[in-house]
Formats: sequence, C-alpha cells, structure tokens
Amino acid sequence: MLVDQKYWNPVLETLPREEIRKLQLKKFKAIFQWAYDHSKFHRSLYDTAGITPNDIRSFADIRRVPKVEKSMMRDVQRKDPFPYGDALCVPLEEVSEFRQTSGTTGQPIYQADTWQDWEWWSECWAYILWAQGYRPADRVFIPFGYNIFVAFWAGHYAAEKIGCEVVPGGVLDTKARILKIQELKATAMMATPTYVLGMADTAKNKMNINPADLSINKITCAGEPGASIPSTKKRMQNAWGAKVFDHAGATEIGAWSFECQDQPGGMHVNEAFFLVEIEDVETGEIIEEPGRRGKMIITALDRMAQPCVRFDAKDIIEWDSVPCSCGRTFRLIKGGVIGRADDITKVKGVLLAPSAIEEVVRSIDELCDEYEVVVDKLGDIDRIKLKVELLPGLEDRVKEIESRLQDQLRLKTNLGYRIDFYDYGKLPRHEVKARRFKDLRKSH
Amino acid sequence: MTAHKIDLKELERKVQLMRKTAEELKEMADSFPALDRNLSRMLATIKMLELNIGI
Repeated sequence: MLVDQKYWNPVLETLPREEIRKLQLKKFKAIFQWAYDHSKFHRSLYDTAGITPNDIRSFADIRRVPKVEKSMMRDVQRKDPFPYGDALCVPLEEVSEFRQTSGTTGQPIYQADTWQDWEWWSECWAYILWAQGYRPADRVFIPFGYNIFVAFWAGHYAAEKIGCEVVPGGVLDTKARILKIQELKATAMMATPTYVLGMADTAKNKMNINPADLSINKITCAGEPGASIPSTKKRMQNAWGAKVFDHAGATEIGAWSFECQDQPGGMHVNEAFFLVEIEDVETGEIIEEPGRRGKMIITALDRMAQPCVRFDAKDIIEWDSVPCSCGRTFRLIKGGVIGRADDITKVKGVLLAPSAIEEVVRSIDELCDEYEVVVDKLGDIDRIKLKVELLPGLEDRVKEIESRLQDQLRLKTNLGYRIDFYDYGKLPRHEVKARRFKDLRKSH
Repeated sequence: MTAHKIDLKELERKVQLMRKTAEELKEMADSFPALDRNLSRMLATIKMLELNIGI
C-alpha cells in the first residue's frame, strides 16, 4: 500500500553515500553551467574568480567557486530586469511566482520562480511531509497569513500533492482558527513555534479549550529553530498532544532539511536536491567531520529561475556522527539549525547563541512561553537583561525560580543575567516569527 | 514497490517518452493557449519525475 511506504522517494532517500555524492557532483556541474550561461551576475562573478564550468570536476573544485551573500543579491536587484536584476536566468514572462524575504536583516530580496521551480518547491516539501507521517487521509490546517512571504505556501501545495485535504486558515484570527480545527477535526498543522505555543495559550486561557483534546496529531514547524530546541519542542508536544517536527528552509534557498518521524534530535539534509557544505567560520576550511560547528554554504541543485549556488546562508550547523534509525542515507545535522552567524555574538567576551537562552527558559515549568533578551552596555560593560513571564499564582516563589533560572543560564551560557519578571500576558505576543533577541550595542 | 524492485532504466525510458510526447504537443499548440499552458505545467511535472529518478 502506498500509505505504508516509509519514504516519499524509496530510491533517492536510501541511495548509498557514494551514489549521493556522484549525483550531487553531476547536478552541481549542471546548475553551475546553467547559471554561467544564463545569469550575467553569476558569469561576471565566476569570470572574475577565473573559474568556468569546465573547471568543475570534483568537490575540491566546487570549493573554489565564489560564495554568494545576501548583500550581493541586494546589489543585483538594483539592475534590470525589474525587480529581480541580472541573476535572473529566464525571460520575465516565464516567472510565475513572486516571493520576498522578510527583510529582518536588511532590504528584502525578491525571489522569482517559474512554474517548474514552484513544482520543485512543493516537491521538496513533499519529502518533508511524507517523512513526518502526512498521508492522503490527513486534513491539514494551515494557520498562515498567505502573502508575499513563502512560509507555508509550499507546504500547502505539497500537502495537496501528497493527496491531503488542505484547509487554508488565512485571514482568520487565532480563536477562529482554533474553532475551525475543532469543527473540522483537522489532524495536522503547520506554523512557527511561536505561533504553535501562542495558539495553545489562547485556546487554554481565553477559550477554555485544551488543545491536546483537539484532533491534531502532528505539527510541522518552520521559520524559527524552536522545534529543534528540546524544551520548546516538549512544551509544544505537551500542549497539543501531538508530535512536533522541525524543518528548515529559506526563500532564496528552498526547503532543504527536515526532521523525520524517528525524531533523531536533528534534521536530514535533502541531499538529492541540495548540496550543503559546512565552513569553519574562522579559517574558511570545509568541515567534513561530525561535531564541529560551522556556517552553512548551500546550493539548490535544481532551482533554475534565480539560482542559489554556494549561498552563504549564515546558518550555524554541524554534522551528526550517527546515521538515523529511519534508514535514510541523507545526512543529519545535529540539533537542527543551532543559530545564525549574525545572531551568535560575544557578550562579555563569551560567545552567546540566543537558542541556548530559549532552551533554559522553556525548561522552567513555572515560566510562560514568552521571553525577551536585551543586550546593552552600561559604560564599557555588556549586560544582558532577560524578561520572562511568571505563570499566575506563583508570585511568592519568584526568588526560588530566579535562582534556578540564574543557575541554569550560567551553566548553559557561562553568563550572568539581570532577570525581570512580568505578570502573565504582559510581554508582546507574536503571530509569525518573534524577534526575542535585541542587541542594542549595535546601535551605540 | 520497494527500492530493490524498481526498474530505474524502464522508468527513465517511459518518462523520456512522456517528455518527448509533451514537447511535440507543445510545438503543435502555439496558437492554442489551453493546450500550450497546460503542457507547460505538464513539462514541469515531468521534470519532477526526472528529478525523482535521478536523471
């Protein structure tokens, strides 16, 4: 039976490693040739570096190919054809999809896709959803404001491709979405971790509905690392009585990794469709071995209109040392995306990853889901303020909870914090991605 | 169907036949929007078949 099949693609997902590498090299050569032949931007970049398609014979050659950074794409998009610029590889009339990045790190990048690219997007997502147990009998609710951001658009199309029944939860507010899930007995959902927790909070505290009593049995997260942070994942799974899975993707890359049903504490890279390299941030050396963190350089091997070739994604990842029990031969990245090179910052001389703070806050049961971190300077000295919300009725235990929180934060991050406690509901709520980490030193 | 029973060569042959047929139809459809546009979509889908068998 089709529904009993473990893999969306029983051939590619179980290919021996050497076959995967051969396929990646073959595809890299093809996408490099395509970009060289059709994009003025790429040809100029590669000509300047003195590298042509004929030079690509091995993975060592691939490492000589210049990386593309987001800031370069901003320059590209000031050129013709409007609005995509000269990295566009197809005539404008072949572009059928417009999306843009959220602009959290600067001017948004516009992303062009042809219909084939869009089929590719939903194909990548089909690998994700099938691996997470989505099947044709599922009724999938998508509480997402369908708009210019790619977010769950491709998840919607992939769920359709798999044969699921898809309920678009577009402009409904949170309460209406919860009532619709209840009314339709939806079995699966896709949302950011922030919103998964926010919906559960609204259901419990404003509607007297226990989300675990609803029929959702699996949730796919995106947009934030929460589903790979153990304490956040646990909160979401407990709140909804459902399995929660992570996936990572980006507008200018595609949906490149996913957690499978075995929940191995990491995500598979879809290596049939993407080439992921990990680069040592200090030396620029490519890291092949497990256990060493570095910055992801990624190539979307089949994306044509606006190619993504050795894109410096700034995601911090590391290879896992053990293969997954699910049997896929696609490599795992341990703990998912650990952070972004932009966000991992030195505070008082210590490297701080905001996800480490989240792991601690969400592991303290007496605290609500929301929190905020503000780093600033008092004179020449860095200081970190952590704002948290206490669950109602625990006000007389503040000192004990603060002491536990301080101990855990020092253990996990090697830093001391000023902690401000707020009453439940006082910190801002977010519907999509939350900006919980604010480094005010950068504006000084 | 398990991985070891999949005849990739035969799958490839039939997918290429589909591509050839769709391309030939598209050439005949340049004044027939309903065919031309649907064939473009069909060719995108055929590309996904190709990617999934590693062509």
